[in-house]
Amino acid sequence: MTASTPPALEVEHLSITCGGRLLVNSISLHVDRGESLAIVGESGSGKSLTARAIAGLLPSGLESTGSIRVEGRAHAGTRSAGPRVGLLMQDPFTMLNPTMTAGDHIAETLRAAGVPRGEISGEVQRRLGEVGITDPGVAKRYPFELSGGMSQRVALASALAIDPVILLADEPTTALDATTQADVLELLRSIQRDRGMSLVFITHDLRVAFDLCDRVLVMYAGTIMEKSPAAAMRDEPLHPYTIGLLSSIPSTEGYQESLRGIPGSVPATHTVTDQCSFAARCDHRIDACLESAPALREVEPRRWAACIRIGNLSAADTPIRVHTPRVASEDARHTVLSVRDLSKSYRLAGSSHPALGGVSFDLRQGEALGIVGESGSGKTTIARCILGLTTPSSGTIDFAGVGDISGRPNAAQRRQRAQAVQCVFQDPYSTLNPMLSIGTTLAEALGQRDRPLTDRDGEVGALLERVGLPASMAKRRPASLSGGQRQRVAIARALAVEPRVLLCDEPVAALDVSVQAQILELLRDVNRKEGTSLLFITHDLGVVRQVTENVLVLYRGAVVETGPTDAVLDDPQDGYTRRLVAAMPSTQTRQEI
Amino acid sequence: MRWGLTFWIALGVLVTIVVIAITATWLAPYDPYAQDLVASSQGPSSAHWLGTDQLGRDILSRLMVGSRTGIIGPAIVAICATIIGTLLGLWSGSSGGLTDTVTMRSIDFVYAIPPLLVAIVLVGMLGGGYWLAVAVLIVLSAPADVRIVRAAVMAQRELPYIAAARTLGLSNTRIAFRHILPNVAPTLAANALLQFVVALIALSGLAFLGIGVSAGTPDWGLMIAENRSILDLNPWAVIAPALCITALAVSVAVLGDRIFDVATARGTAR
Repeated sequence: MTASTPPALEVEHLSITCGGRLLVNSISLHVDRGESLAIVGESGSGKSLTARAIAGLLPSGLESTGSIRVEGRAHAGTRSAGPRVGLLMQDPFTMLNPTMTAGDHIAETLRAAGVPRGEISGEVQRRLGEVGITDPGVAKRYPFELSGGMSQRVALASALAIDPVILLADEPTTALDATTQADVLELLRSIQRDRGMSLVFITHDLRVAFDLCDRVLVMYAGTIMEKSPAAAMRDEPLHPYTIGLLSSIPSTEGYQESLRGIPGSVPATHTVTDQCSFAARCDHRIDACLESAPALREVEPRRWAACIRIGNLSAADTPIRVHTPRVASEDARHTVLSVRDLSKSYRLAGSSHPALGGVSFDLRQGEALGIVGESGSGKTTIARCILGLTTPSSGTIDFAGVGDISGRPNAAQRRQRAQAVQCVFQDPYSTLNPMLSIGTTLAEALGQRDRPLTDRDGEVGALLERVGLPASMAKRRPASLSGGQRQRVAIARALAVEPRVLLCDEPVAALDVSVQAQILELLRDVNRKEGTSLLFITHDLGVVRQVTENVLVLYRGAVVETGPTDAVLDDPQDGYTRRLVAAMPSTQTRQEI
Repeated sequence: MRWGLTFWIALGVLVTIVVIAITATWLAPYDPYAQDLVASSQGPSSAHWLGTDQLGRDILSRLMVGSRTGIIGPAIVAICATIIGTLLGLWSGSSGGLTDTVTMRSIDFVYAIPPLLVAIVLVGMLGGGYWLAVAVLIVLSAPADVRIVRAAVMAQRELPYIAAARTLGLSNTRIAFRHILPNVAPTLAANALLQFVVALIALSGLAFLGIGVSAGTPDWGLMIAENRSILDLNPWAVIAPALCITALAVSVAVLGDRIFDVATARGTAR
């Protein structure tokens, strides 16, 4: 970069406030032409607000100060004439106007950019071709007729229609399935390279950031913690927070003896302006960390970090230890759940849509069985059938000692089934009744055991402590709890009945990375130490690797591959499993010890 | 100021009216039925603060005693309609199928006819009377509650915490009362207060038309009707009861609004 060619994007001292409360605290960054920068952070880090400020699309009520320059010129927003910034957002379904066809979206932008009327339809086809859509019929389809990946491609094509200098992509692949995500990332990479365009990629997933971008910037509580070239950060993260984040990611490559999360949660930016914002959760904290906010300084050439302890962090803290794979012991443990030829079809507009086509499996005492599949593979349908929330079309679900209860159960059978299987659901925000206190929720679950509940407060307290929460939490309501805490309460509720099988339906998918690891560790404890069988439904192969010993891969309602987790992930036999494994972005290059 | 100033003013007005209704017999300066034909249709004076009506009865005393029919009838309508509506709504929503269809189509039928018109026709046909009017209003108000509760049951049935409760093996009845009902309680409370307002207006209207309370009873609606003819002699005989109806209706409506806001905020914040 020379003085004559200003960087594609230059942000200086950007602060965002909401009614006097600071949300983003004076951050500066720049992106060179043709360069890609990832902004990584957990929820509450301010990464999306930063992107919105750059795009000039801050929600009303929020104000920003500082300067944003695109190609050296002050930038007022996407709609202003002048330097062009394209925007790609997370949800492909709400980003497109449902009353406009795919082609209309692109044509609209092209017209605004001054493309002559006669050339538009040809140009639309060419633009769709650029994002890998070769079927000319797609231009005439409406968003609801397109799949998630296809919608995201159309959205990308219309963001590119103004030929932007910079493309801002805010978690564009988070809502997509693993294999689709890999395709879209590959597409973004090639388009960025071919056009020589700059890219700012917002994500919560360090793996994706390393995979796609030249440089990575880590944000926490509205401040920049570290910015480094991607490869350098992956191999040797500088800041304790980056180290923590990296060690929190469940490895897809090998089993980790202990999953390290980062205890606590992200503080509000305005409460930590006069100290290191990460201090409360940091293992390396010294008194000086609380005295002033550390400045972002160049630790090594091109590598910046905001931590006064850099250089004093001991090497023993290198987090990830990948161990030799466990050997799933094939002893004669008895079967606790046996599912045979389970089928379910849904009736929609008169025709029957099969969701599950004859799935069979056994779950043994103390086993952890993973069910892996993308959305639409039928994994949640299996869960709902097992829980008795929906009636299967055919097939049997047999709990040892309970018998087949796939029909309509009576009260005694319901109680029996409750003691056979309990569930932890995905969404921590609606898994607890907002009107009941935590103690009431848990006491109700305790009451579903066969023995009477004698010491209510004592037992609720013991249950809370078992999942790593203070007993005093019993008095609080769900709204005052963080996502991770709610998920712990949900686990406590499930364990209260002392079920033989704990069914987990994507229990960590909605949680931040640093919290995920803690919940997974807790579930592993429940499985290993207490011998509760786990049936673990997920789309994340890293999670499967860490938690389960056997795995079942589901594709379009049928089991395509099954076996010991390590064997299936290391050497997948089925074509679909191979694609799934290949699609997972990875952090492990040189971290094995 | 979590509740806001208007809330406290509204609560003050309501409490005052309720206290007056309870103590009216002792507090009222005159017997509300006592006639004094010599002092008929007088304007406000030191003896009769709000003047007298055609039969020389004290307006203030009749106003104070009249607050009883103004509160009791609407309160009974609101309470009974809420209870009936809640039970039917929970039952209909959690059973589904034929039960739900039959209940909801009956509700639609009641909805399709204008309530005040039905009340006038029905009460008039059956010979009038305050308690008959109250009963008819209960039947006509309950459908709104059925709809609110049923919609809540439908919306919540798919939420994970209801799925979790079902997974725990809890009965449908227990889920309905313990998990769903608390979440609709704020809406129900606000709606009950709104129904109080509607019933107050309806009962006063029926009294005005002469098919509610029996003639001679101190009642705000009836007073407006009876004293229309002396509007030029003692306007307060009409204005005062009208003001009372308005004050009670507005303050109860304000309370309902604020209670709904605060109660729903309790589940989401803190």
